[in-house]
Amino acid sequence: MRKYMLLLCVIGACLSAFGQARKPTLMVVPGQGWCYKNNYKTTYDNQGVEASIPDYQRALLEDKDLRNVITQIGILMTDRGFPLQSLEATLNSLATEAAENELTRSASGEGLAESPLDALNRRAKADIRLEIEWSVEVSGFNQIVTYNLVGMDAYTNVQIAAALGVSAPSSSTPLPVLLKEAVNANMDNFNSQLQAHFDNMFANGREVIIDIRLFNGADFDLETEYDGYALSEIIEEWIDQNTVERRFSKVGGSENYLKFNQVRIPLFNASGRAIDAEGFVRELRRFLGRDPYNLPGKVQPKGLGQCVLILGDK
Amino acid sequence: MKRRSIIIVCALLCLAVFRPGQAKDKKEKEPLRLEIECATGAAGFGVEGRENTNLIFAWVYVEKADVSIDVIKEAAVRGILFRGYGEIRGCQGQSPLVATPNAEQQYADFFNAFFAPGGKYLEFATTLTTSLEVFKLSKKEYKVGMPVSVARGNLRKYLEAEGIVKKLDAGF
Repeated sequence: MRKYMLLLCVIGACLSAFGQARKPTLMVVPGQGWCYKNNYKTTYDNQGVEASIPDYQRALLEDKDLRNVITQIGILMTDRGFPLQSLEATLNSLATEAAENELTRSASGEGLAESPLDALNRRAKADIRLEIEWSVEVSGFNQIVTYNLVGMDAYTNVQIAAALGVSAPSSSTPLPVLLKEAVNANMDNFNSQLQAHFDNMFANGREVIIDIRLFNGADFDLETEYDGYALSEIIEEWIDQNTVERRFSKVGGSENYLKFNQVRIPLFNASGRAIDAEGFVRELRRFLGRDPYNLPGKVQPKGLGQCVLILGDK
Repeated sequence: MKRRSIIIVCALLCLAVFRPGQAKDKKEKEPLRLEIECATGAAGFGVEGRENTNLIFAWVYVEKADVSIDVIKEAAVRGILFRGYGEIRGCQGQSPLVATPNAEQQYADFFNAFFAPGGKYLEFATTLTTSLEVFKLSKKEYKVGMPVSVARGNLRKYLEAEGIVKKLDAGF
């Protein structure tokens, strides 16, 4: 009886894994322009040139309106089945993790091993970034809120949805209420565009970016020939054969690298399992690992929509 | 006796052909000529609406001004479902809730039942005043309407549950 129950659980888990595409994660972040305008930025010296990056942590701590807007968008998106990844919670967890890592020591006093890439991968990231900006214009006794919400695919940097609105002039309605109304009034239109993006994705595949690189010590390059064809051609041919309706663009390449964007990968592989850019590139690595190529490779995912295959080592 | 029978048969035939309710049925089947516009920000309505609701003016164009409030509610719900409205007075426009262009024909059975007299649509519309606004446009045409609040969020959830509208997270 127990064995049957276990079998049923396994079948259930398999069924839930198959037939459903990987759900993208969404995160609301204040727009760069809004951060700079409100002086929520960190300035640093970049090889003699002054550069700035948004200081999300301080913006969240000091700007109550920002928190309210993010919360309101979160409420509406959760209602639509897309609970947001919280920017604040992610930043807090990264800070806590960094502090814990600093304090973690082995008996001999050694700290945790972490490559620069590991540190980079711990950034706050989501598959779709909802960038929010607003400004308040005062005209006589009235104030008017201009509101702008842009949905960006974090990997392809393609704008997939947007909502822009100007509130009615009001002298009596407080700013938080005007902002809440702006969110409420714009979210359905925004979600309609998001829906169109998802429909497009289900029909034409997920749009991803694929990079092919070489490790320094590799004893071959992308010009190395196999049966009269350069490795770069073989890779391009494989991508051509495995993309939805052969849709992809090669944006650059040399003997050391290849870059493809607008690569439309199927949402499911041949066995019906949901795949993302990583799954797709793993298939490519398996193909290149077999005869006659026998090339080792390392797959480095960057979320659902971008993946790097580094050939020449593991 | 024979003549009386003929008269009775004729009367019955007349009744069958010209039933009083039939003219009404035919009238109800005619497509509603409607118009909706955003009421948020209009005089007396303030600039903020309620969450997941659309505050609109719903209008119908009719031959006689004695329109029931249910007809205005139907116009409001139909407008939100299939038409949407444009931006006005700083009120954001809304795209139609049912994005598929021919959904009304595709799901004709569902929508016929939904908009039947006393149908489910009444649950999603609330009138905000008690009296209708009537404008006489010509000898035989009136524009009649009133402000209505449509529970867009609940309406969407209902249509999602019925499979008429796709959920945003469908397929994931």
